[in-house]
Amino acid sequence: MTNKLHCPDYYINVDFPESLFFAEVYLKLTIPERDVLYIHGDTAIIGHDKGIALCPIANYHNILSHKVDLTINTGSMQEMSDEYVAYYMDAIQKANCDHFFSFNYFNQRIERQLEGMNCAAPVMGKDWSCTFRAYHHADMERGGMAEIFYSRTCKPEELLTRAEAAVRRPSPSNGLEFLELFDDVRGVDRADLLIEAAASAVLGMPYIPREALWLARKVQPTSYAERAFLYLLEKQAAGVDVSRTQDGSVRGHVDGGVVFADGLSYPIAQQTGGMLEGCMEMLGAVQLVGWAGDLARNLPVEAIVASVNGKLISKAVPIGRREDIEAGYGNGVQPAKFRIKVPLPGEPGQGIPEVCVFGLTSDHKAVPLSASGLPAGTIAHIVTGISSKRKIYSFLGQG
Amino acid sequence: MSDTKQYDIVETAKKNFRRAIKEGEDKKLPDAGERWGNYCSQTRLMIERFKTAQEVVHYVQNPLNNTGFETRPSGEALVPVAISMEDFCASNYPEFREYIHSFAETPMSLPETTTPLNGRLVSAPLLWHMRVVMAVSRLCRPRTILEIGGGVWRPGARMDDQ
Repeated sequence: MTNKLHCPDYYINVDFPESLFFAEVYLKLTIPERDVLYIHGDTAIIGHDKGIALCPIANYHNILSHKVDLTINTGSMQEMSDEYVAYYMDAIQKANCDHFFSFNYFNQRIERQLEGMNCAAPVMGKDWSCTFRAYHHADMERGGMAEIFYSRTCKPEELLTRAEAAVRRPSPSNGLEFLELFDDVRGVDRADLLIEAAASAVLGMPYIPREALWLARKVQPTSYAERAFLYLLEKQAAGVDVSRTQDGSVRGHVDGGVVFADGLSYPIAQQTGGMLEGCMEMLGAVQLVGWAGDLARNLPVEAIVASVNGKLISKAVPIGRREDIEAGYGNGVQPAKFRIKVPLPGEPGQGIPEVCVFGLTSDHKAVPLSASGLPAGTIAHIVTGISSKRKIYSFLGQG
Repeated sequence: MSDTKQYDIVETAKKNFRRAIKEGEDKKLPDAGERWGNYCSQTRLMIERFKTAQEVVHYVQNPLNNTGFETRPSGEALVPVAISMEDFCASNYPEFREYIHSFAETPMSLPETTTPLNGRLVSAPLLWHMRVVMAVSRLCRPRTILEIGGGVWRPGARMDDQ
């Protein structure tokens, strides 16, 4: 740790408290002569302009007025949820800082996001313009990384001109060209320009980059053509397995109290196997989250399977621990947390697909998962329908 | 550093951590999402168990613990990665070649995640950090930096040797 190239006077690290715990210990162990300021809610930072500061995310807004020369993010914004990206974009917009450097994933295949958790990040506000950009391609499977330097120098009247010029260019055929296109149109709200840019990327690139979906979503389509285009992109993305825990090749069905999966039979046990706790709707699929376990034997389940109208359609393995479940049912139930994406047949609302979710145990039983608020032992059904204006997903129980 | 001093460092960090968590409860922060939510909940389980600072650093740097806050190739796999990353910086940032040797890993890091290279100790995070510093330094020389998601040790690498 003897970097002689460039050392700023003041460095502020904004991160999860869990990450800052490691940072604080590391810094104090390896460079004990340095002062490390931990920014709590009542910490006065006025006058602090030298050294290192660690700022938990919850207190980020307390320091936005502090003058900062450069904000940076490298290698992590693509791993954040959409909500966190929006949170940081809002903070950057309000911060007393006019420059932002990003070095993050870009141009990954829409159906293979690897560690990515969103469709595009960062997405700067309208008054930010890119003064430097480079694209570093890894390979066709992983896409690449975009290195971008933004400054708060863009005039609103420039946005439209730049976007119109961008969509007149030939379709992008490589990562850098797509980066230029994306960056030139991201700030406009005109549906025709956004959809043109997304379609241009779909046609020109060797594979569909996920940022094309971001552009198509921003359109908020109304016409049949725009809706169909977005629908097709969403269908592609619905196959994405962000945790690489999902097996879309599962074959089987549910019949007569037995789950048949990949040639094996699993009688449905009269015991609860966990809970469905959340359902995220997307075009062509639902994503279910919850926990599952072989509670009778204090073990994790081997897999979670979902059936649609009696046919097994997807399979996932549990990933991630749940302290509350381990405390309540035994510490052998780990990992318990899971997420499973369930493609639905046809257009949402055309018929009502019945979705059932089971945990498969190592002693070949299928344990049904309940939905929140339902008695243990019931099978969860997700009933999809269309109300007058919006889609409705709800859980119903059935013994 | 003595065990007592290391213990004090960890206890202070625990206090800061607990207070930050409590302060965060009063604010409506976004959901961390599946990936980081899992890493954070695993880390919360571990934090109260730590005793010494060295133990903490080795824990977070150990690829087997999969904490997510650092990605560290280890063993034989590290050597070609390190050579490739250093070569990349040397060829893409030739104006900064003379500084490459000033980026060195601390010997307190987990040994299997470090390797000697051209006369000093390196690791994959260190070389990634070097690349970022070079990329930024070509564009500007900021006196004050705010890093979103700075992770475990980027501050140290950047701030040392003022």
